[in-house]
Amino acid sequence: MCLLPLGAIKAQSVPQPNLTPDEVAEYVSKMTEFKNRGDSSAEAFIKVVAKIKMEEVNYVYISTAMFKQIFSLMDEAAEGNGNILASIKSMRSFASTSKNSYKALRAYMDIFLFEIDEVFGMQLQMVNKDDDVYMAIYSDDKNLLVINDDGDTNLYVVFIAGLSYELFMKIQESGFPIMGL
Amino acid sequence: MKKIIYMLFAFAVIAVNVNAQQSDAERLKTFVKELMSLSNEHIQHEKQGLESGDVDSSVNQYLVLKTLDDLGYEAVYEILNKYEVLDSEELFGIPMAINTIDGERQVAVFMDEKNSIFVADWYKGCTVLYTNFDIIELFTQGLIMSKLGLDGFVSDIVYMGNEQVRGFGQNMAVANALHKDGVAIVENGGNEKGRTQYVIDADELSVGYIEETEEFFISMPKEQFEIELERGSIYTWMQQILIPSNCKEYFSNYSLTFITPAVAIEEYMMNYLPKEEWLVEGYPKGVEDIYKQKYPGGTPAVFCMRSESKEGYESWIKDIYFLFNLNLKDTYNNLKVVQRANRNGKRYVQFYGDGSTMLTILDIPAENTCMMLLTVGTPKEFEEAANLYSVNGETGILNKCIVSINQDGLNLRLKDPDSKESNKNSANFEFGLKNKFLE
Repeated sequence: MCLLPLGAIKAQSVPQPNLTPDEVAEYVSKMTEFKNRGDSSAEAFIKVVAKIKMEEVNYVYISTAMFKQIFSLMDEAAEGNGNILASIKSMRSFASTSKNSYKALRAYMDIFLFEIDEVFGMQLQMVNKDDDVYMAIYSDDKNLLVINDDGDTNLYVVFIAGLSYELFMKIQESGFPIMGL
Repeated sequence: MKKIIYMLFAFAVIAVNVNAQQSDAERLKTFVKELMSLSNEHIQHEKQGLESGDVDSSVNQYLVLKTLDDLGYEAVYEILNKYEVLDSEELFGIPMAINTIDGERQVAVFMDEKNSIFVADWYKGCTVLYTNFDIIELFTQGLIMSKLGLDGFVSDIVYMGNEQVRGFGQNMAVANALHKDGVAIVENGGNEKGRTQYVIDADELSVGYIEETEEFFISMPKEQFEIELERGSIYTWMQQILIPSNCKEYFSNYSLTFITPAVAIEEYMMNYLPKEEWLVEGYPKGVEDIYKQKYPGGTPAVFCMRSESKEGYESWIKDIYFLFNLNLKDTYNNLKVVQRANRNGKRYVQFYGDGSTMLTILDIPAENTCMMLLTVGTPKEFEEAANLYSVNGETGILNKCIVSINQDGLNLRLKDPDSKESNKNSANFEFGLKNKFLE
């Protein structure tokens, strides 16, 4: 028998993902599969969500190799970013496009919207609640997640594997040439 | 001798790698040949250097395939599906470069220095491109793709990549602006007043399901959640006897829900206040402070546990099966059996006793499901305890509510001053044991 800290269990204070039994089974099985392959909790979670096809949710994955190739096509962005790009493994983004898809995506991403200090091993680094938009940045030593939520239709999440918060800060300090901005 | 063993081992590793490479190469060859074989009136082909379907790395080869109708789409989709092209992050050893899904189409691009595979599926038709070269690399080296008729693919890939890089840049810019402004930003390590402290890891995450409302929830540990265990013996008994030894694996094996008056108030406030307001402003004002208050009274609470897998069920039931064999009025740990029933292979037993404690256990062997609900305290006690908490300086929050605790859980409903009917502002914690038994 184990002594479980009963006080450590809390229910329903976070809005509940409206998942069907099949979705939960799929979620649990894939999470376990990715973790068994050596992914961190954060990577596994994002990969699981990526595997789940949600209607009207736009999803994009781009590898670092592709990222570099695209950068190399853009003269102004190519120089000085080799080291930064070298560490980035991939980038995934999810964007809702309607109220329904907002609800579907939020069911999985809810957990990043409540200023929880640590989620899937990633620390809350920044949070902003201005202008009717909630924005938070989470990171661990090798991943960065940015979430934007307008509370209605638009929920946008980007997950960058290989970009630590420290590296992210260095980018801020050194000035990152942003194409088209 | 050792050297020989190491060498043999090294050869074995090399052999395995070579085999894996061959296997990928062979599978790629088969994939291309299968696509080539689909030449008919339903599918349009364009190709160069791939007459036989054999891939020759010494010359630039490519195959473009476009479906012309439903039959063509079905035939190509069957092959894509067989190789899980749209679901893989690596295809024949070639890493995925881009994957985009929107309401109109899904595009998957795989590229390495020797191959490019581009698949666009717009759900009524699809296009597949295979080249035995890196299409972007040749483009950057000045090869004019329009000569090959592939410029559309290049611009498509570059456009998608560009969009992502732009998105990345925008995120960095927004984050940067936020950081520099320093407005309403909480740097990690800071303790913003009232911030809820959670620690969550996938291993500790529990997915639960409430039958009654058909809702799933993710319950999570809450470290600072301390309660005064005045009813300590019941809790200790519950922990030691009822919670199975492998409960640490409850991420997949069990779901647990623990509701105290503080949780009930928080849930009630979250439901009662307009969601659009607190989603922007943060937790409803005052709710954050609930958990800071030391619990002022006894500890009525509701606890529910449910097996979520065969392993969880089997491990748990062997510890508690004896409770189903007790007769009416038998007692166990100062709790008396007040109800017991068997029906269609299901077993149901309910205890009542010390400290207004009610314990209900349901066993459904055919579904590998065991559920346990424990309520400690009466509805009145629960209401009184919750009312001792101060929210924005106000106590007596649950005076606005009808509180009921039954064998299926806890229910808080707002009293509507103009009607005897309760309105929708309620916090329901229903577990559905009885209904599940009666099904």
